Amino acid sequence: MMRSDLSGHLTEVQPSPGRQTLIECREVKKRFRYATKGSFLAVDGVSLSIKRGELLAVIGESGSGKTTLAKIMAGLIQPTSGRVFFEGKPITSLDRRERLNFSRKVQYIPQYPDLALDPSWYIYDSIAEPLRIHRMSSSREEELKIVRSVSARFGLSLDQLRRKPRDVSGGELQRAVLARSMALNPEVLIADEPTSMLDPSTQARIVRLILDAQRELGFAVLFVTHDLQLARVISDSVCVMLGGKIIEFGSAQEIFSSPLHPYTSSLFSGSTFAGETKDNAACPFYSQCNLRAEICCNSTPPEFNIGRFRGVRCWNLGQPH
Amino acid sequence: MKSVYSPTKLETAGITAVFAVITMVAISFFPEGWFASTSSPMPYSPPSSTNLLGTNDIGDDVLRVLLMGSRVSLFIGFLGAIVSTVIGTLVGIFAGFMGGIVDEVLGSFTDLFLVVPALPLMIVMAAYLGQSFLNVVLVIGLLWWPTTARLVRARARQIRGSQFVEGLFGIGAGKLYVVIRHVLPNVWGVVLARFVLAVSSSILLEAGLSFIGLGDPQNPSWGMMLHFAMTRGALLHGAWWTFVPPGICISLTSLGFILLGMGMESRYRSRTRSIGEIG
Repeated sequence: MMRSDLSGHLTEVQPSPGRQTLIECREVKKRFRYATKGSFLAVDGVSLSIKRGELLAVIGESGSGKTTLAKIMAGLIQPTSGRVFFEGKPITSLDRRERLNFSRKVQYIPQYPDLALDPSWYIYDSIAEPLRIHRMSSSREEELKIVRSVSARFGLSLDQLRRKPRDVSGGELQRAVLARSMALNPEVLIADEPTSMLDPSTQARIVRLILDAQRELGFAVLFVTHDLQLARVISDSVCVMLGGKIIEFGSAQEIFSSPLHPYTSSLFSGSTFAGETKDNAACPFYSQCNLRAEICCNSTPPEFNIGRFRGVRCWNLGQPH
Repeated sequence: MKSVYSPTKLETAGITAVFAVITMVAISFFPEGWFASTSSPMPYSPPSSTNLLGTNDIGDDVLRVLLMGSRVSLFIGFLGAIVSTVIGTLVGIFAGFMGGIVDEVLGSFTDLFLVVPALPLMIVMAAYLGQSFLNVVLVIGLLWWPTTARLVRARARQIRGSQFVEGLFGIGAGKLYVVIRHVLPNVWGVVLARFVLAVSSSILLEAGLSFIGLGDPQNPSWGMMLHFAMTRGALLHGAWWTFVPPGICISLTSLGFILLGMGMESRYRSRTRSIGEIG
């Protein structure tokens, strides 16, 4: 263990110079209480920032807290502790107008497209709805023009706009959900596993549409996925989550070429397994880690900063795995 | 061409009965000579070609009173159902959508009304408020909402937890907007089915209240016809034509609305099942 080599202790992801931080969370925790008894800590002290034009992927296995983190960033659920900042201001202290502005600039794409739109509404109305809420069109003609333009970008025909959600396919529905978010011209798109419910060819099409729109419009993307290959190809930077914590982050190239955390390595090699867990261990990977030591069980590893934008939460920092 | 609406057998029977009552109400607006004799024969005359359903204790044509009574019974039925459905829907949506302490308080309030025996309470209230057409409507409306509230609450709660509502908050929609534009249209099916069933219940309750003498004597309904038949010796005279026709009308009308409501409810349930997890 190279504790003496530690270059520092990160409390938050350091923004890279030259890019404005749009949305940021600091030491966010979310604890869900069960209806009967007990509770579950879904997100445990996560700090993260998204910069303008960046595509940040959050990867991890099911139950690692990715979706909860994405919803907290989107302002859909309140964290138990910690704060989320939008353009430098805590979202809990935004007034009505600022809150509306936040909901226009930060858009969330859910995992299940078939549940994302009101089943009793026509797709046209669902896409036009954000425009109506934010009064972004002065007339029906202008609304139609915007909806047709944004729908055309995502390959939706007028015939598909006239249908209800149950009458279109999953891929078409996900495109409609994307079109609805894009109608507001957002600055941050939080996509929560937007392709996980689709077939491979549709997945590729949806990802291509998001990337093309991002290149053209310049919005930032927080892409939650458990598809490692996809994250490797599309993202600028990557955060790896386990047990509600970000255990490693860095540029996509660095993370995929030289993972530092034993969990990241095993995730890439496909050797993680649902083994025996020691619930009270400080490190969530303790029970499966080949390099575990006494300190891993007793003391929570801090985030160790390596270089300008690279961090890992492991006491074995510096040792290649 | 694809059929937009094809009623089930239950609904067909219900629709037929409801149409029959509506026809009776419509005929009651015709000039009197069209459907009943305007002459004044003896009391308790049996059915004849002049008086198709005979006459009652004061020599009134029973068919005429029956048709006039259809207006009152149906009007009270609809008005009582409107009041109870509006209260039930508002309480249900508010409790289901707001959740938390609001849900607990309104839920307990609803449970309280559900466990209190409604009919005795209605009798007490009707006796206290007095014999008036509007009082009967008020009593039915104020005491018949809890079942609707329970069902609407369950549906509103399901919709509140759905992903599309979460998405609506994400795009900046307010709670009132979500309730009016999304929750109400999605609970509409259950509200409509409950309304139709409430019409049936209201007609029966009105008949019950009128039968024991708590109805409005100025506007005699079918229940009031039964009350007069009982209190003015029709049973002793063996004048079956004074109580059998209103009895049949009450039974068939409420049965018609029940069948229609049940059909609508099952149609609504199967539709929400086919949509899948709407919420």
